[in-house]
Amino acid sequence: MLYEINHPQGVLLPEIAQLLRLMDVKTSQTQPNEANNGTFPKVNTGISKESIDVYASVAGANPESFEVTVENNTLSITGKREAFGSTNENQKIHLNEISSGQFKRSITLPDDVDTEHVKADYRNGVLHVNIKRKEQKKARHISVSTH
Amino acid sequence: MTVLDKKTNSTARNSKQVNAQPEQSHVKTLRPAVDIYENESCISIYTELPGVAEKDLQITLDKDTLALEAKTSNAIHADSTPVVAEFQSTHYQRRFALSNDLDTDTIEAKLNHGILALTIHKKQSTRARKIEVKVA
Repeated sequence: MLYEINHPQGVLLPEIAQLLRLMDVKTSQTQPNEANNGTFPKVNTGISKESIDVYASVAGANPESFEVTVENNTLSITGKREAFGSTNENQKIHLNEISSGQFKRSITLPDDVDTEHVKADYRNGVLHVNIKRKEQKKARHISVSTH
Repeated sequence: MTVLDKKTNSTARNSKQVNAQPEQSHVKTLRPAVDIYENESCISIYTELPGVAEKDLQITLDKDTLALEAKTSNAIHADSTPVVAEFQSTHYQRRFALSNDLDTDTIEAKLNHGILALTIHKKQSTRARKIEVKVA
């Protein structure tokens, strides 16, 4: 049994907890910066002169399941998160709010990415992909001839 | 055998904490998603805390209340200009009340890839056991 203390009835079934959570997801869609609540994983992207940094918030994924590819100017991240419970028959599930399974996210990158220089590391449940940008060609001065 | 999930302020999972300290008011307080499993010997609580480092996680046990508190720092590198920000710096908080048939002296906590795994063992005396029937 799982109890939610300040719930009017005192008892909140996992299904209702799940429903509330889903409703929350829906209501927060109206907030700025939370637009992609339905997609997984959520990503943050930052751009500097030298590189593009993509951070994907994906706690508990199997690090070996990650596949990060950059093709043309699309970054794809795929991976898998296993369910945490064991397959033990005697196990009871009181609450299951963390989703599991495979995920895929594709992000369009600027045209000047250097696909040869991509690094990815997974720390504290955040996958960080660093993609170098090609060196900017210097502006060329074109002289105008006059007749 | 019960693990009571204590709600902090409102029923909304992503709701802003009302009593948030002023300097933290721009940081959202979220109730992290959890999985709770029980088997013959223990209760396991898995909490989703992406971006939380060990030093930013606090687990406290006050009488029967197990409280989790954690914060994430802004993930985007300072030199970069953020262009897409779907997740932000977050303050996580969730509390559970443990029934007295759980052994609170031996709570194990492991943080791995943004998942906090808590294992709370049941007291030996309250575990289900098989009673042998003797034939007279």
